[in-house]
Amino acid sequence: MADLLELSLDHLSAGFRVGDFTPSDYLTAIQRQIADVDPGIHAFLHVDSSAARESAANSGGRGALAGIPFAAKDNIVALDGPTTCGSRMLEGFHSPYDATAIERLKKAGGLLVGKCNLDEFAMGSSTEHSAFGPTRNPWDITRVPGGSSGGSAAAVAARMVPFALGSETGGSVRQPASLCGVLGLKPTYGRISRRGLVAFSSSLDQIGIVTRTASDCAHVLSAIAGHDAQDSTSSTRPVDEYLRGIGDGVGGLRVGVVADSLTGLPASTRDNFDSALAVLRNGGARVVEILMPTLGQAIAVYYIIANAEASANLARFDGVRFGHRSSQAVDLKDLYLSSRGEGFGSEVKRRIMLGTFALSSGYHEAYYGRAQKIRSMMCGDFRRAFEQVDVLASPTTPSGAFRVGEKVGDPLEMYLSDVFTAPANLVGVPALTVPSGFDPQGLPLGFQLTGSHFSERLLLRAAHFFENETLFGRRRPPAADRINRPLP
Amino acid sequence: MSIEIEEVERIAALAHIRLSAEELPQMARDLSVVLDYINQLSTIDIDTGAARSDLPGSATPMRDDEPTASLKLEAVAANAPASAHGYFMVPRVIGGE
Repeated sequence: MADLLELSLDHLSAGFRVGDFTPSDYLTAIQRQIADVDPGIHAFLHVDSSAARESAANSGGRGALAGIPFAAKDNIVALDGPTTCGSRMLEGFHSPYDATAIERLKKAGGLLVGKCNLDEFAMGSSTEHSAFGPTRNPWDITRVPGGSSGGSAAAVAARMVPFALGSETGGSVRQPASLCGVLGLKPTYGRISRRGLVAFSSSLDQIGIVTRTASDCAHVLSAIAGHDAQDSTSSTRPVDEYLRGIGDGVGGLRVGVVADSLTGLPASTRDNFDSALAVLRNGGARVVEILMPTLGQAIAVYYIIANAEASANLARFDGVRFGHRSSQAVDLKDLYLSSRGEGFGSEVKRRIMLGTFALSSGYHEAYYGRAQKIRSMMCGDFRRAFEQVDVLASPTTPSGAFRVGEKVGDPLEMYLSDVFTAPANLVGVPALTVPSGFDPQGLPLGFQLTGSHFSERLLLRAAHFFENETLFGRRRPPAADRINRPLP
Repeated sequence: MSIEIEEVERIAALAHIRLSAEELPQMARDLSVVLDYINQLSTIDIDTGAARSDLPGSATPMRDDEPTASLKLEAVAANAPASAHGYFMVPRVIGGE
């Protein structure tokens, strides 16, 4: 039954159809894998056995997702179980509704088996800022899986689920997917409804998808993409057929590389990136050097805009209607101050403080106003780039996974992990990461492709080509193959 | 840019977050480090011609002002720290000390 965990969604639905195995068989294998390996990885904050099992038994549906178990990052609300956002602020909170993306997956026959660990309120790049303990990288459990969707990425990498939803604000699906050796997609801003995704930065947030293959990703995106009347930022543009032409290869593809952005990278990352470009060239793609002058400011712009918007969005956590309420408060103002002081972790506080500062009287124009102007210039850079090329290529992260504890004491150092991923969030364009090999320590590296707005089908076609030429995604991490002792 | 403790207290008051005496100096240090990095943006020449419409989500869609179904009261109250008679209970706001 261990082989079931390697099957793609297409192979699974074919197997169900001809009766080689049933959705119940597959769910049993998944739940056994979670029970065996998650104690040593801690990808899940909450696992739901009963409801999923019932649905599997009743699942007679068609379609690639019928009877398929999946997980969702715990900042995506669901009726099943608690939604904590990895925070004491929401410990014990039970959502009265399913997020639109989860509704759509359930409608397609998907089975939500659990909620994944994350940096608190999606603020972080390592999943070390979870109030409930970090997740470990299945390739080396002394190392981080990345973040903030570290649980989602680890769950897919360790074969605990075939796909998981995560969320992106500055790279929080692509960065952990890269560090865990799996595929991660951030769609175009507005492609997937944000209803039910607990808001961090409203002009940047998007639900993202973690899978092991491009065709699996295409199936999931097809199920959840599309306008939602209850998310006014969702796009009315018709949903593309993401599987159409997925096997057509990369002949004639124009690939842009920003040489400036590669200076200072470790040699192993540079070599890995060059090898990845060679794979595309061998398939008939043409690599072109381009200039994007604003790229170097992306992190600074991101950390002003994201934190400013976060300071507004997290104002709702005040101890009044839901979540943690301090027992110490003497009046209403005190209720706010104490509940928030007690409920939020240090990284969340730091970011709210930065955002509040950037929006405060006397600083607003110099910080937030200026950041938005530079962001607009960045959009212009991307628009001009896509007149010359079809996709932009870069490493996904500067290096492989770092050790637990290595960067958590240095906020700025942690923020610089997002250097390659944050631009796509600022501009709203789609981007994905594919596994591109391993560094000298045997840790996964990722190759990132960014496209113009609504070009997901092209990105998935390129990813499909790349993964079939290289087969890096077929290697299993060590922690997926043994019964793991619980973490201390 | 060095942030003083008084400035941290001012920002914390705006953000409605109580920071302990232990947290204040660390927060001042952390904010200073990040703001130093962010201040590189002050050296960038702003291209005033860059269109604001390039930003994602710039247009605001409208809809008719018609009520639609919302959440059930019981489901919402179930997550309330304190509620009664369909209201959220909070400490006294007006009157008293």
